[in-house]
Amino acid sequence: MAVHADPSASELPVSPLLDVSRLVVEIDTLQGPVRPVDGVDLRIEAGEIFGVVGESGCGKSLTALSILGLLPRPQGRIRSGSIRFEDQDLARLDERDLRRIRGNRIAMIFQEPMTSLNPVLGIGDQVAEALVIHRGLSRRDALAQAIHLLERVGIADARHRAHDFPHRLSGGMRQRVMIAMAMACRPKLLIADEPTTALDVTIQAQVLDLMDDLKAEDGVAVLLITHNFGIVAERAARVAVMYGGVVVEEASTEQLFEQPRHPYTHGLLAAVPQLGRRRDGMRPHPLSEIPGMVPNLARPAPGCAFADRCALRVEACLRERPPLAAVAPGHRVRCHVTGVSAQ
Amino acid sequence: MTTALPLPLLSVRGLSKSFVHRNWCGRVIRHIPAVADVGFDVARGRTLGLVGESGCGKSTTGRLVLRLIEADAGDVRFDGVDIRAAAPARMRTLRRDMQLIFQDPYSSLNPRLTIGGLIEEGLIVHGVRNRGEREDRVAAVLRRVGIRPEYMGRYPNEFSGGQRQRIGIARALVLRPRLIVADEPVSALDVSVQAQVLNLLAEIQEEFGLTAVFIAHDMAVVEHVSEEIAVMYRGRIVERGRTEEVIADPLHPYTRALLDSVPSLRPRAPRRARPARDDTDGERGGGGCPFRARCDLRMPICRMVPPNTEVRPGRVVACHLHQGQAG
Repeated sequence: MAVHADPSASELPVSPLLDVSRLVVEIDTLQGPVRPVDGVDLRIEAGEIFGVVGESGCGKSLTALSILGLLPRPQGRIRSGSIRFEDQDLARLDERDLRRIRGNRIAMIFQEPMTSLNPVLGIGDQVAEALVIHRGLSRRDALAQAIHLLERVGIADARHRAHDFPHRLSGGMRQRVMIAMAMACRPKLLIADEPTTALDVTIQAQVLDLMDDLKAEDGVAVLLITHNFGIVAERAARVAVMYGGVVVEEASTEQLFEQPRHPYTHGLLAAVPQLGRRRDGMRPHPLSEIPGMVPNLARPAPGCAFADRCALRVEACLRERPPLAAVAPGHRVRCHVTGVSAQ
Repeated sequence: MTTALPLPLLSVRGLSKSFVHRNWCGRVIRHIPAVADVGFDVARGRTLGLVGESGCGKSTTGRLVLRLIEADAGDVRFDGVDIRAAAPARMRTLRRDMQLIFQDPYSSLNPRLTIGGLIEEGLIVHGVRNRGEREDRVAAVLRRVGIRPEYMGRYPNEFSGGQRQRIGIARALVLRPRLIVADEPVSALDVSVQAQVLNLLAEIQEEFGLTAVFIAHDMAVVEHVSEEIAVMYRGRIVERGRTEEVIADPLHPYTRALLDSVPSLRPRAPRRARPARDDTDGERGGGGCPFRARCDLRMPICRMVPPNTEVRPGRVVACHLHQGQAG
């Protein structure tokens, strides 16, 4: 197939900010090596919020970790593929070069803000650390800037709070501190792995608002990894749905939610309970279910990873892995049945 | 709400519980109120959704209802029987009728027992002496929740999270209870598995005529399963009523904030008003309305605890804005 067959190619700028291509991650287990990430493609433009959704074990977090060279060692490694960021292939960089990028050009925030913060260091010093390391600021200057950053992420009375230890802060505040740390060196890309999963829903909305503001003000691109479709619908411009270590569908948020094409995306969207469905004291219809369970990594299927749970399965699905094919401009689907261009 | 109906299966009034915070030599420093003046009824065969954010006291309420912890004050009646006054022997028979389903399918099953043994335990405790009968009942309940009875001899670690939650349901169900308290039963599960377990719970409830208290933080899940909702904040029920009314027309500012914060599946839904303040500095002291510190609409009178006002039959809200609207 010629490159030009992809109609989405023409509208994308020549080089995106981050271009993950055919990434394969291998992890050694007692049962031998497995591939939790098995050919992932992602393209993220500068200044956009890009959502990656999927259930546990789909490979979304490992994809994020491999971008920063943070795979568990020695058992994890990038087997093949490339991660192009600015002018470099991060998959080929050594630890020293990666360290220059981590927390500097690319920053990351994690799900659990308590375990990601150092409990015996004041929050101001933790935010300042990146500025000392990457920008070469003196401790005093770095701390002054850290206070400014804490103010920006909405910590009231930051001058005094900067000396507080993490345990004095609520979960939402800790996540704000994490964001201040991540933003300290004005990264081009912020990877946020389930940033609000541990937070209550009212606090979640505030933290997501903050990320929106930072995107607008600093032009940082955000790779937002989550299992929550609602968060993606509300915040992301583009979305990739992952299943069994691959991207099964990639589209603009509107396309994905209004015209989901992959049977897995379909199934997941129908399985989510939504507000306002109950009427006149009637029990709502049962939620639609996706039968079965996520695939076993130790025994990868030769064909489509979703085949054994799929209602639309045809014979080819068991034999051959479907390609990620364009069905409309900017909309790609990995499916033998629905991944056909709508012409 | 239930005046027209016969006696509700579960009736709770004025339920309160404080936990005691002691210093290192055991002296009581302060009492931390976890549940304050909670009241609700659950009609037979119905589900009450108890919803709220972490630390609001919803799980404690569930445990108080089952008398797994002792309340400081209040009244819990199960089918007319005062649970708090029941003698140990009476309590034991009552327990068979009231079962709990836990949140975490990983830590709530003893890893050293086979799943058959885990489910059988309740039958042994409640005096089913015939071994053959026990085995039959375990097999039947496993089949009902969608686990093959042949797996009876396997251990919990051989099952996925969703399957373990099914096993937890089987364990609660085997005693043929009349009331189920389900404490965040699906919040640890992935979306596709969550749907399976929610559907299973709905089928079982219908089939066995179960009454349920469903505790969760996810508004959409609670709406899906419950005919009535009670919204808790800092130990108090701030609003309760029929589910569709509370969702469509929330009266308490906290309920509104909670509903506004739930992301919808419509792409780029217009951004709505957010609660003005983060609940950070834990300004618990001072009494008054528990939501006062975060409320955009607070008034001087909010320094006093708002009374529960029944604005319509079955619709109760604890907010000074709605006081005097009793109708």
